[in-house]
Amino acid sequence: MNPCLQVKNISKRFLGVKALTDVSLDFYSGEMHCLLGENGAGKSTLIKIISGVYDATEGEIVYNNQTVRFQNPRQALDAGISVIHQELSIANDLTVAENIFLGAEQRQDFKILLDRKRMNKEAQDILDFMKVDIKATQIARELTAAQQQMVEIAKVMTKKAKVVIMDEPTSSLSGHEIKALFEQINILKKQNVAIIYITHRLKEMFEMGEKVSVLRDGCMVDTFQIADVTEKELVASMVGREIKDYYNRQEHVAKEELLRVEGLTGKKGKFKNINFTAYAGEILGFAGLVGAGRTEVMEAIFGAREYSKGKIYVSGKEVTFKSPAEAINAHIGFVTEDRRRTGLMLNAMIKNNIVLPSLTKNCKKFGFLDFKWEKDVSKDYVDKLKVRTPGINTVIANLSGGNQQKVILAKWLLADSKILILDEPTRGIDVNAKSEFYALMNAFVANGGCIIMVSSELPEILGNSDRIIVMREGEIAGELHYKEATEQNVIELASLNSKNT
Amino acid sequence: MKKFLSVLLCATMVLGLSACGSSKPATEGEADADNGAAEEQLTLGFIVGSREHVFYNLIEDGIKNASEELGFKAIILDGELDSNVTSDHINNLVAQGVDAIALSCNDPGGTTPAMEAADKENIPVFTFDCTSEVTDVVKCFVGTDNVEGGRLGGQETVRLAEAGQTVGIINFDEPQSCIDRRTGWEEVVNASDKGLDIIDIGNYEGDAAKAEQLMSDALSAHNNDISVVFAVGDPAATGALAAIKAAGANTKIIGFDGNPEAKAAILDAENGKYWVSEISQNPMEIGKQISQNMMDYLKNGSVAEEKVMIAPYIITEENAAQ
Amino acid sequence: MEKLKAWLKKNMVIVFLIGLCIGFGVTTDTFFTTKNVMNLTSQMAINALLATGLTYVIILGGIDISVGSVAALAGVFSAMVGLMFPEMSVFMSILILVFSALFIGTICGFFNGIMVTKFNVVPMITTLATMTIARGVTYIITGGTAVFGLPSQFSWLGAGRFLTSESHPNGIIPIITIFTVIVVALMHILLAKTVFGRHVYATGSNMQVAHLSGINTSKVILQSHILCSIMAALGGVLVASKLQNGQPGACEGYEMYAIASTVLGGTSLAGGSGSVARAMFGVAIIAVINNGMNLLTISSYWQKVVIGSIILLAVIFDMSQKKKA
Repeated sequence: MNPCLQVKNISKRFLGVKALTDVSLDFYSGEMHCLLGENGAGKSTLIKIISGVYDATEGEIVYNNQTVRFQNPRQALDAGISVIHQELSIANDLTVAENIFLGAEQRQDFKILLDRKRMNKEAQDILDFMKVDIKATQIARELTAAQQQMVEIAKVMTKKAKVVIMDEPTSSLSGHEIKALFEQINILKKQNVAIIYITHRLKEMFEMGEKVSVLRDGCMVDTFQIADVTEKELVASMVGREIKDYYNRQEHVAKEELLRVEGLTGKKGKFKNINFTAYAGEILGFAGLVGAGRTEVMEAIFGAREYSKGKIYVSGKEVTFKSPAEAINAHIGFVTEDRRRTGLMLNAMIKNNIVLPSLTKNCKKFGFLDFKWEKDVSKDYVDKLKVRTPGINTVIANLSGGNQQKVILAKWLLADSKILILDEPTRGIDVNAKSEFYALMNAFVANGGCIIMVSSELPEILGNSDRIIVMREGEIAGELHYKEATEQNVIELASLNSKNT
Repeated sequence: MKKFLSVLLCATMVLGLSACGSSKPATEGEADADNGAAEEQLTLGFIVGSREHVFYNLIEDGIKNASEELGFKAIILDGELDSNVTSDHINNLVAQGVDAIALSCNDPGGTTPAMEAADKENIPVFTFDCTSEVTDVVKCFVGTDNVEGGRLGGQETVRLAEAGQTVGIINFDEPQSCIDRRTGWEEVVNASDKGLDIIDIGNYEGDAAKAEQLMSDALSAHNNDISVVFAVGDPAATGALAAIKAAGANTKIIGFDGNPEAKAAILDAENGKYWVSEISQNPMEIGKQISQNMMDYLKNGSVAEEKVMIAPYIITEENAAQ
Repeated sequence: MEKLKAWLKKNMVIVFLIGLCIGFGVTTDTFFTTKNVMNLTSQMAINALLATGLTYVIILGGIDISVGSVAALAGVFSAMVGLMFPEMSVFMSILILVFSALFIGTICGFFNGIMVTKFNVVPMITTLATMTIARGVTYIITGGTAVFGLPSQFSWLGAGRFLTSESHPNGIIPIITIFTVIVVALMHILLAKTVFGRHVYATGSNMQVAHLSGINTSKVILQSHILCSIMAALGGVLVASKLQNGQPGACEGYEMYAIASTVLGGTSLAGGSGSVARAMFGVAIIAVINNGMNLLTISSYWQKVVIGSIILLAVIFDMSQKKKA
């Protein structure tokens, strides 16, 4: 059988820096071919070349036995190559159906007016088929990140693509949504579609993939049949060495109480009767499905969301935060789940991001900025947290996800946070950066800090938390000590109907 | 609090809109109408160039006085110096069934179709201040003789300047009236035997601050050596005055319009050294004359003269106080 | 060499401005005379103040198109207040002008800011409403007539000059220039060197991040709108002072020049970046073009075409730089 898509000796240079060197790969119809590699290994560059975003410096692409050279993504799309990006391209103010048919709107017979009815119906059919709880007539803004991802997938499904590229499609999905996605992938495979799949989650590859190619520093390392390879071997070829245990579990000692939440109940039923206590020196994990209300609880604690009932105590004193500013004054820091949207000023320099919450307390007389202080503390934290960057004046958009996350951490450490809320702290970060980030978390709690970590990645929760609180549909479904927690019982708590327990 | 603020907002918006839109008919005329015998009373529609200019406000006053004197109902609208708005007003007046329409035709090209349409409906159309040369439906035009006014400005210029000196003009290139003033001015200044050197200071676009800038640039370019400047409108004269004083020049100003600030400046000990002369229009008279001619036409089917030119006059220190 | 290239790219406006000045210096005899240069600085003053205020609002990702109308309102207001004090001293006149600017600016800016922050009206619409309302109020309180009859002391700030000499009996350095330089410098320092300024950048860069970092973004937006309107009002009272009378039709369309200057100076309409100092280069470019072309007696229509084209070129250049980066 001929490959559906071949990449031959592709190299790509950006302003003299080599992003890809002599990469050759064959993709076959009906197969899921995974691309694996640390961030910066060249996966994104490779798919951007395939999908017509970039032009290769050297080499060629053969598609359906013809050498092709796409000038832009539109041409690739028309030729049958669809991409689901990591960063969603959802138009927030359009309906779900309009998003799904964006650029391929269905028109009525006289070709001017949009056929909304038909669009809505067909979109709903697809969404129902995918078994996701989204209405075609909903406005995209109202959807969660996970739901928006499903809309992206639905969008690709309507285009009769021969090659579908998925860049971390599951990074914001949970449980049954991932399952629904995998069902779709299986259908696509049966329809003889070649799937190129990028993920950091090895588990998914083993579950769904046929082949996996590992990239490192812009070069092809190897291609394996998934059936013949182990997880350890893959990780080793990715980082060039074997990582025994990247979670590196540490035992923490819980000390005094820092945060107590009693009967916290949100508006519009987002969460109900939340009770928990968090102690200095521990990592408290919050597990649950996407949409279980974990983020909303954290926002309420941080003063960024109104709640209708309940009490919050910080170090034993009752508090009511009207704004994040007050929470920050009470030494709470919040690393949000979407760092590009709510975590960083992307176009600002590293130092500007780090000092932002601490400016008011560290200025000179009359509110003048202390530039020397800004420079010194930024340098200090960049060194301490080993942020890989040319300098503190680098624009943060130019850093990799892991390093961006470290900068956000630095920002809250500088703000003198005692309680650090981390929401999906390692989403979209490569394995190496993850383990570095976990080490920083451990150091923080060892110094008497308290971390509350919301995560949808079970290994992350199980590998780091001292205690695990599982939320389901806005309520606390149970609490587990890490020694008694397994993937099995966490998932059960998170997804079983409460009537059955 | 929110409710209060939104009410406040609504109130301000309404206030603001009624202040600047001003496209609703002036109610005074109508109020008068309701008292008398409505059937016999004629209704006349007027569209003034812009309510934002004193000049047109004075014309409006003249019309209102005439409506009381001659006993007609006046609907006065604001054309906002926009041919589109003006055309809409004409159409609306036709729809309301007025007996005659008079407008200040600031943009003849844009309003001609609406004027001709009104004429076809047998509603006679009159013009004041500015008229249209492109259509023959206009029954009568009452306006300032701007060319003559320009000539008066020219006479004053020649009187004030000495032989061989440089004299300048600040223009406003869009309104026909200002173009006419320039034509008349240039005619006289060119014809004079003093051999005056004419410079074009620029188009001030109705903005006093812009006139100030143009004047100060012109003074720099000519080392303050400008003997007389003729401003085609009072805002231009105001701007020129500031520029001349700042530059320490000794240029004399001749303004045009006859606005109150012009008279005040001429009488002022300091400003009167520069602003020495003013060509004044007679807007109240225009308002009165146009009303008179419309009534004549509606009664007799004709007017005495198709073009009534109200002569401008010169204001100097001697007669400014009147 | 590389460094020079990078500098040139970043500072194209400065290079362009110098080029323009050289060009006009060669084609006219008068461009570089002391008198003209001083005139030029005084001509820049109004737009400089408007652009300074706008820089704040535009960095926030907003816009204020009411600056021209607010200026006109403040101008006639100051003239009307001035009429109440026929015997005013120079010091008194400055008090009247500054008080009028603060008073009108605060009212208009507060209104804009509250609409944007509390009622979530987009800045374009809010300030469009303010533009119309302020202009309307201006005509209402003046009845469409200029406010005149002010004593000459009233024009000290707007038209006065320092350093009289024999060749310059009226003085050399316009007081309006000095006043503007001081105000603009203070506003530059406020934006570039203080926590408040940094909060403006942060809010414009990413409002959610700023909020979650403990910044009261509504307050920052409100304060910036007030500052912007006060700057506009200051510009307006200076026009009134310069002309020694209050013109209800003053400053019409000035918002466009001010926005253009800000954009020419490299402030991005998307928010998050920009600087007062750089906006001044934009102000200078527009003033130099106007002044130079006046000296060459080129028609004002052509000036508009030229300025419009330059703005377009600047934006295209800016976009192409961003794309490459």
